[in-house]
Amino acid sequence: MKDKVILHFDGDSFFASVEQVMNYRLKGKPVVTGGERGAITSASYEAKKLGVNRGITMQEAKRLFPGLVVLRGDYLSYSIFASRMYNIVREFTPLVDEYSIDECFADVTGLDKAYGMSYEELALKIKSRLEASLGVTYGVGMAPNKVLAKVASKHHKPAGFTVISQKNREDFLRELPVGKVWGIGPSSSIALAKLNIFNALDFANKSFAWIESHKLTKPFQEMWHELRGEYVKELNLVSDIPHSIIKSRTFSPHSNDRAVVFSQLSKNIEAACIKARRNDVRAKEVYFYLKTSNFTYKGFELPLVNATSSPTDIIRVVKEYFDEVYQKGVTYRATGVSLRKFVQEDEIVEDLFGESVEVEKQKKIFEVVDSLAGKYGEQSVYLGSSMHALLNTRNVPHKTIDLPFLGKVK
Amino acid sequence: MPSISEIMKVCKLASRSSAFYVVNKLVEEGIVDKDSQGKIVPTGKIHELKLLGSIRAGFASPAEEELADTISIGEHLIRHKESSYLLQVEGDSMIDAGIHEGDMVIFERGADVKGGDIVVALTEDGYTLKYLRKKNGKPYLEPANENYPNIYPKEGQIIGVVTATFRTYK
Repeated sequence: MKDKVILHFDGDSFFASVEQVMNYRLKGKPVVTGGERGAITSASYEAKKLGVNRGITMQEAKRLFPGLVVLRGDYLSYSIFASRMYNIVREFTPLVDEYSIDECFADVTGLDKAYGMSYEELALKIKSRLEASLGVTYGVGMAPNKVLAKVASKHHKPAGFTVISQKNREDFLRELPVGKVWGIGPSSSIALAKLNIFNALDFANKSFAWIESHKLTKPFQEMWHELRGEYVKELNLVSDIPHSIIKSRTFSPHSNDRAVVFSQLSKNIEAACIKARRNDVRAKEVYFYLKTSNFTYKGFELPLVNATSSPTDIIRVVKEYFDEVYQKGVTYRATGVSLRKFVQEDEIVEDLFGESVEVEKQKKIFEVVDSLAGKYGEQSVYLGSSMHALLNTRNVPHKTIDLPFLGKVK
Repeated sequence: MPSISEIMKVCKLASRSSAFYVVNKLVEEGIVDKDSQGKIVPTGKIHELKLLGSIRAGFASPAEEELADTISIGEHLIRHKESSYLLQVEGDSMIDAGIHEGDMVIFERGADVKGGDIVVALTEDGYTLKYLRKKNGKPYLEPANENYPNIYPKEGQIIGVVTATFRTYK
């Protein structure tokens, strides 16, 4: 069988880099994101140079580096940039695995002939298209499988391009602590150290008999095969669980009336929940935002204690924090909601007491609501809080193209 | 239409006045009305809802053949959406090119630029919108307003090319 050629694209300091594109004043400055949760979710190259790393807390970082710019995560922009990344790579090959918000895999096997260039040239072409279009640099890895492609993309940061082949594979693995291999966590690496496995090559060089006798689970077996250069882990072409569900609508006329704006948000929350239920998932996090008539917006991220796809649950939480975002006297043009951190419906173990009764009741209600929607059209039954939005405003047609707004130009 | 006591039951309200409050809200929204005896009656708006539903389902048009005449403004203005961004014009440095203060500009990052294009450059003073000109092979930025000087951009400062502008009046 012909060797596969798998590419892995990894956005450098992704969240912080997107912030620097969205606000040019942040370019060249040490920026960290995660201000809303008090933990660093991403650090710009400049911040890393100062000494910011994943090991330190936000509080320590603020104390140690007074010049540090601390930002709240802007998940709407991150997800727009993520889908742009997938789409750009997809212009070259349909075989794209949307692994996470800042990473994807692509299978380009055989496309060297189609494009009349070497695989290296093709990888670099996609990389430069991504970087030019998004203004974010990418670490790119090329290898015969996903695990090695991921090793390659991490090898040289930022903006690196590394090829791992059957020939040079061992050189890379010898340098790589086994705990840094994709999927091997700190606790597994401790267990492996007890078996005298310290780097990735130690692991790859074990025999299959050894793997079997130590009863390694399937993910570890797959890793072992891939570290040896075989292709086992298939690309996930259709993600089973969406990364996020976003519902946003512009409404006309624009409004500064709190009740009107809230109703629009409520309607979007209902629509997002419908989509979550259709996908059999429940969210553990919600992000809501309001867009002003002046093309600015502000959002708030909230954890959901119990994973849910019920709009009443989410509206209850959002209602408490709505005034953190809504400002009196400001005219709004759109509201939006993004549900995230999904768990699959059938993986949820209901809490034994109290909550579960309420959850069951809600579940039944929304099953009925969904079946009515099937019969009479979506949102034929809706919450009172959404009524104003559904009846009184003319919504701008559904198909939208989101362009990031970068500010003023002279 | 339900009676007040039925509404109390359905909404689990303890008092009739709370149920009246709910009904009055619906009256305010124009969904229902009260007849001479105070009974709840539907208004035309209940039927309007269905109409709204069909609008939301797509670019609904009563006459099918008219569909061919619609254009998607977004797609009309945007050439390559994955690399397009928006800016808003401040000042009058491009006034002779018909670009006014407040206009919206769509530009494409990383696209090939050539002399005569209107480009976006990112300088120390922020974004600037100018004509790209070339003199002896050296690029410079020319405003469309004689009150402004030419700008000589540094390497890498030209970040994109303008593909569309638009303006709203209301």
